[in-house]
Amino acid sequence: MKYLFSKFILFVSLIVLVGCTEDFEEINTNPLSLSTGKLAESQVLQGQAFAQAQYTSMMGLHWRFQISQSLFSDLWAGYYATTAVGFDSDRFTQVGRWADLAWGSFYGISAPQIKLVEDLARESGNTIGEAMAKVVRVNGYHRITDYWGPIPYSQYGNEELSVPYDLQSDIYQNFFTTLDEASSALSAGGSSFAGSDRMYGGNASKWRKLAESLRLRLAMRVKYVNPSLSKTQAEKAFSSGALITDPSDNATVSTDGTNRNPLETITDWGEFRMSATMESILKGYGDPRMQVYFDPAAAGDSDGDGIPYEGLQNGQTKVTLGTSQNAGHSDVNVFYRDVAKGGKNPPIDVLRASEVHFLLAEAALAGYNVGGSAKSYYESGIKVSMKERTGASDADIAAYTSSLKTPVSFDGGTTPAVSSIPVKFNESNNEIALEQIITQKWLALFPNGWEAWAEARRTGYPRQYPRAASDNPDVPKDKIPARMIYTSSEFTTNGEAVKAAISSSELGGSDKNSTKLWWNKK
Amino acid sequence: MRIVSKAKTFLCLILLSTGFVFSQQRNVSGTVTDDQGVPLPGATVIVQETNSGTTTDFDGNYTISAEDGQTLIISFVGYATQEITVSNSSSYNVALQSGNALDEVVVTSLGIKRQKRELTYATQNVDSEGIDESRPNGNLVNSLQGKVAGISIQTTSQGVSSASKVVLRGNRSIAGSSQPLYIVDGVPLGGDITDLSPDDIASISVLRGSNAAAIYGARANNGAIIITTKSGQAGSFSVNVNSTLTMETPNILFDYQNEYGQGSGGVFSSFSTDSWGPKLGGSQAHWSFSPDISGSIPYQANPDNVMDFFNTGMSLANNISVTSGSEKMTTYFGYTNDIRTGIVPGNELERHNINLKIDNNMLDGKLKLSSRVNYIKSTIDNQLAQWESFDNPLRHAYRLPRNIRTQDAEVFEFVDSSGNVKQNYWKPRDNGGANPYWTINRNLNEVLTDRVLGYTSLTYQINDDLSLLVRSSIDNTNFTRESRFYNDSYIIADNGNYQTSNSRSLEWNNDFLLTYDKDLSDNLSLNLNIGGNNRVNKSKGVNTNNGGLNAPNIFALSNAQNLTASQFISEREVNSLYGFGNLGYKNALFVDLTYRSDWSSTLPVENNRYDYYSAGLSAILSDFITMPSFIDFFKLRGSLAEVGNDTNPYSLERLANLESGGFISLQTTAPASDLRPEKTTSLELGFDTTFFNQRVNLDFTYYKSNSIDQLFRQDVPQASGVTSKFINGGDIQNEGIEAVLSVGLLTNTDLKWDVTFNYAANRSEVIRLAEGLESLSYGGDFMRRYQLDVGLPWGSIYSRGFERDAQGRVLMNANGTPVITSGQSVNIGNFNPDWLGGILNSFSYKNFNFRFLIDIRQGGEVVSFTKTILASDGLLAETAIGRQGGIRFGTDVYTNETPASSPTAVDPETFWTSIGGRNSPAGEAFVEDASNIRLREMSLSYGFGQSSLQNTPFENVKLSLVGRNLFFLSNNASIDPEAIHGTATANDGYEAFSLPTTRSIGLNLKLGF
Repeated sequence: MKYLFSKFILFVSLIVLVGCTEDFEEINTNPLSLSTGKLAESQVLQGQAFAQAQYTSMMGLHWRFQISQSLFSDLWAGYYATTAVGFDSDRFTQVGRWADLAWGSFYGISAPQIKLVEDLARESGNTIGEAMAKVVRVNGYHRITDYWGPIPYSQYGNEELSVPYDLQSDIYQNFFTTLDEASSALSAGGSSFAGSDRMYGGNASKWRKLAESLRLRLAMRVKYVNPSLSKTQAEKAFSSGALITDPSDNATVSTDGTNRNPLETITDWGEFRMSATMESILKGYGDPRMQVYFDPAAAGDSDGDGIPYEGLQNGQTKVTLGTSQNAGHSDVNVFYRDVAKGGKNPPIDVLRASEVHFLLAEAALAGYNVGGSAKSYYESGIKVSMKERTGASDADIAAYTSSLKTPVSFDGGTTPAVSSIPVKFNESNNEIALEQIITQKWLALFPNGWEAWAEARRTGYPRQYPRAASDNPDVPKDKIPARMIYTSSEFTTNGEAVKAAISSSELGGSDKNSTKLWWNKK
Repeated sequence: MRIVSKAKTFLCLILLSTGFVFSQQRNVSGTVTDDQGVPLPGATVIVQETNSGTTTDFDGNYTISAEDGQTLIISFVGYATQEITVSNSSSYNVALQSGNALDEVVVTSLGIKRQKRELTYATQNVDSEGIDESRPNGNLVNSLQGKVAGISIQTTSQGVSSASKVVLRGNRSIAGSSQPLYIVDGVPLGGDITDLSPDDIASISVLRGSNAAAIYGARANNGAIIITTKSGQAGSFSVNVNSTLTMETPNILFDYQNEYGQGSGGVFSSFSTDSWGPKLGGSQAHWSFSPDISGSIPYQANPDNVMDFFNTGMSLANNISVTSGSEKMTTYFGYTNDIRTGIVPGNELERHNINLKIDNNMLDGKLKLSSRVNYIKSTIDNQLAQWESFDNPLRHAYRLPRNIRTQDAEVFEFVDSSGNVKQNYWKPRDNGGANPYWTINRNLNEVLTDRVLGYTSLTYQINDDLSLLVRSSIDNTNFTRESRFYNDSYIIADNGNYQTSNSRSLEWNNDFLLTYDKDLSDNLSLNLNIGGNNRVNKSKGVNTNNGGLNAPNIFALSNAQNLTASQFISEREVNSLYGFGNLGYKNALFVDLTYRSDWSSTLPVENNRYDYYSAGLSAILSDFITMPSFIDFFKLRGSLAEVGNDTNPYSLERLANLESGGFISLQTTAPASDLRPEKTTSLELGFDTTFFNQRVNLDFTYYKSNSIDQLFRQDVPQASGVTSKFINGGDIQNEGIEAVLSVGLLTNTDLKWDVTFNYAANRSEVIRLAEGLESLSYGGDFMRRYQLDVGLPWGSIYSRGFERDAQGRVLMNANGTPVITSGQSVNIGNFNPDWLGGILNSFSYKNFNFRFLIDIRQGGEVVSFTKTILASDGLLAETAIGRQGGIRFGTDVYTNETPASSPTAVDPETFWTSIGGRNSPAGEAFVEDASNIRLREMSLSYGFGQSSLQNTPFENVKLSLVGRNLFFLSNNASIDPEAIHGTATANDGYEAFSLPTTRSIGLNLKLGF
């Protein structure tokens, strides 16, 4: 009897143990995460995903910003020189792991979000949201193709073990088509993702202005390689009547205590200072933006010109950097520094009104029909930038734009000035005028080194001091790198596709820092 | 529903505990001695029928309750086991014959004790003697180093109470753990072994292969370390006190130059974090901004400034244990108090460990109720951050410029003219630099853990042949950690910071086991078991980060500049049913079969079951065949096992995470579309022999295991939409041999000398990864990445290396530096050893015991990240070469390399910064041989004889002097290759600002009342 009883207990135990797998599905559901199904149901959640795309496609997080922009384009655009011993990129070495992380920051973090939001918005008939996502797509990918050239674009998200690259020429063509679609949808007005959109609070008409201003930026980028496309698109942008010409329409990604302006964090690390090129130009022009962009050097005036703003020549050797260069040179202005030290944690610049004026100036200079002269747009560009950055008076600005002052030596006379062009617009020599336009755009773009490096490659301006040394046999010290080498992660995970891109017509078999991009045809 | 299920399980327990009958039990006692009459303390006495057991005391005495007709099994490591049938006597003295280890009793699965002769797979009883004396400061498991054939133990750098990484028979799991499972009293540990008290341990045995997995589940397929804790003894009462005081010091440090100080290019700079300055001499080198450091600071060598940073570590362990018992109930109570201070100042531990084990025999021995509760409370101050974390003080201590005086650096802070407390450092606000004394005083943390382990089991002897065990066990840990960063902790917390973590993790097992044990005939014995297990693992926690402090140096959540919080959760449930059986013929031929099915919550519901099995055979040939006379005993054994495994929770669907600041981000890994359970198959063949009148024992094992269908992440083109995807793949093979040889060299009554050798060689090979995937890399940083290549052994380390021509000569740059590859494309080595070995010598002479253990590791490579940084900082001894006149590659440095072209002389600063440093070091230039031989343990003890204790309250007194890790007999690397910075597989062979391993010397006193 007892034996039977025990058998019964055993039987019960078996049932209890094996029978309760029915709640396994519930156990294996993470209550802290969202399924894609939940995301598809809610525009509010999609808006939060969209906000991530906006922030991360500008490399919002501090370390992503550092390894993608601060250590490459910011230095190669000539805004800053590095003061950290271990940062070889200022001597034109593309440190591979940084580039891998930069590539991964876009393709791994931003691109999936852009696609997700665009797809979900399209599927749910949210045409405004879809158009906004398209604009973010063009903005994000143009920055990546401007770094590397051919990149995976049209086949992004194919879920395969090989993702083909698109030629930059095809990508740019698609950008213009995409902007057509977006602009057309946005022209209906209305809003989407209002609670989450970090750029315009969901306002469709403002988004259309960004779409058309991006069109203008990209149109000028292809000026040398495809003049007719450039002219058509630039004039289309102008005739839309929807350009960002007033700073109140500036495209910026708002920041907060958690998602900060990355510059605010990394300036705190004391690893770069104002470049010698910056000092030469700002000091020479007596430019009031010098005091807004930078701080006096902690050690004061060291070159004997009586002005305590000091720039460091780029490309210093490790031995020179072995002694601290920070105190002797100007840090960025406190405005861009840590909040606790008086920083303002400003929004992240995507596209400013002043840039649009300079783009129109160049377009006019090239004979495009953009409703004004190169000189008028050049001067209005300076005015818009001065006003929003310094609050200078109209009279001061007028004096500045008519000034014949030229850049000066950065080291008190030992080294000549970086350039001899004045601010006053040259109406007789188009090349000098172009140098003036791009140099002023370079000043206005600050601290957007990503765009400034692209334009420096395309136009050759502003002129920069040669590096103290180059460690890169392909890029001599009096040149700047023309592109980024493809990352090692692509060779290991997407080898066939990246090799095909290298042997494509646009790169001609060369994957070097000196290999020119498709649009770099001046 | 689940609560109802649990309630049912407990209902079973209660129902089972009612309604049984008493029979005649009485106390049996006696003394266990060796064949010379010397008492054997710690011998095991088990009543075969009830499985109740005890161990002998210091004088070899035991008391146990048994019935007439029951069988006592008396065993002791290294002695032949004896069986005695209880008749009408109440006293049985037993003299064990030494030598025949094959009659050892081995604790196997579920706490079941089996005779070693029955086992079909390799198991090694660890000589656990001295484990409660030598007491490694880091981790209890470190005391197995050198004693188990093939065990590889690496220590992490958290300081006192660090995790260790233990591997038997090679790494096999690509994405998971290759570490063995710990079983305590038949119950798997959910947490780790670090905080268990060695005083509570009665015995340890190690199952090296995966054969135990059928009984413990998939987690045992890396082997199992089986611990039995002490129990009370019927009819006795004893109190034991064990006190150990241990001191430890670093046993290896980098070799520094002492000729040049701070600066660059031969020019002094008080800001510099490098030592490329001018030659050290008497001149003034004032670097401090502190008003408290006045006067001149000579620019002179401070050869000991790194060594000065370390303290002598101290550890004081006190244990009191009480064992008592009657025939109906036995009790073991132990309390251990540990106080430890590490070699890094401020790194301290206080631990209380209370252990209570009660065994009740009821219903005339038919029903046994056993319970154990172990409560462990630990407080760790300033657990060391690892790797290149900015709050790892070793990062800063190792990098002290050569002219920095300890007395100045010790003044780690000052008040500036504005009244702010500032860090006193030569390069204020450096990204990655800090005064190490600031770090240990101003980057503080406190870790509190409360852990409760326990079980209750009921065993009911249904009839003579059939018994049922029902058991429930938990391992629950509550963990809190608080980190306090003071203002001016550069970069990581300029405005101070306060971080907290709170978590709870639980492992809960419910088991039943029905055992049928019968001698079918005189020649045939049968043991059959059917069991079930329900396992729940659950953890959840919250981390907070203040994001800076509003009011300086007040560490409270309410003082946050930008408070963020994150939360995690993990839950898994596995149900299992299994059976295992053993059929014995003439006590000399045994067949073992096991079968198990698991149902796991982490697998797709429609395919959540996986089955595995093992089969084994052991044959005592010496009982069947006439052997040469010198062979006393010869056993052949072989077994085959296949083990399945599940995956991590929440791996089946791509989810989106909610992030602080209002973002939502898609996860970057795609789930496996068609997920199959992982499988490991292993084959094991071996023999156990005894020669020369049981003076020589040899165990030999050959094994081969293949782990296939592993679930791991494969990096995919990032533009495919995900950065990686989970795939099923892989075939990782480990093949090797293990041998344990013990020899009784001297067996005189007075003088005994035993030597035990162990040897193990493992060869791993990556046979297959996945379709189209020839290599898989993971775990990378600026220095190296870890890679698996098809056709190569497991775990190659890749880094930058020298560019070479077709003849293998190193290409040179015009400036005299070698050309370095642009990517981490050079396979610079593999950590895995060719073989591991240990030699344990044990002498006893009258009341003296002397033991020493030599531990050998041969082969493999290790690379040091610290070294690359110290090289580019101009700190290593070799960086002093050629400061005047420069160095030539291949002539002055790297003389084993041939340059492809005659190199120009280069200044060492340019040379070492081009191949060393943090961001792009050439690992090939810093790879070292990981072979070493060390004196792992040495102990000398004296046990006071009964005669000398006659007029004292003591029953026994033993005094021991114990040393661990005393010195290297040889070491080819500049670090201890055992020191790693984390237990992840990718950290093998990689040193990065690790804590030096230590030599320790301790004094141990045992008192028995």
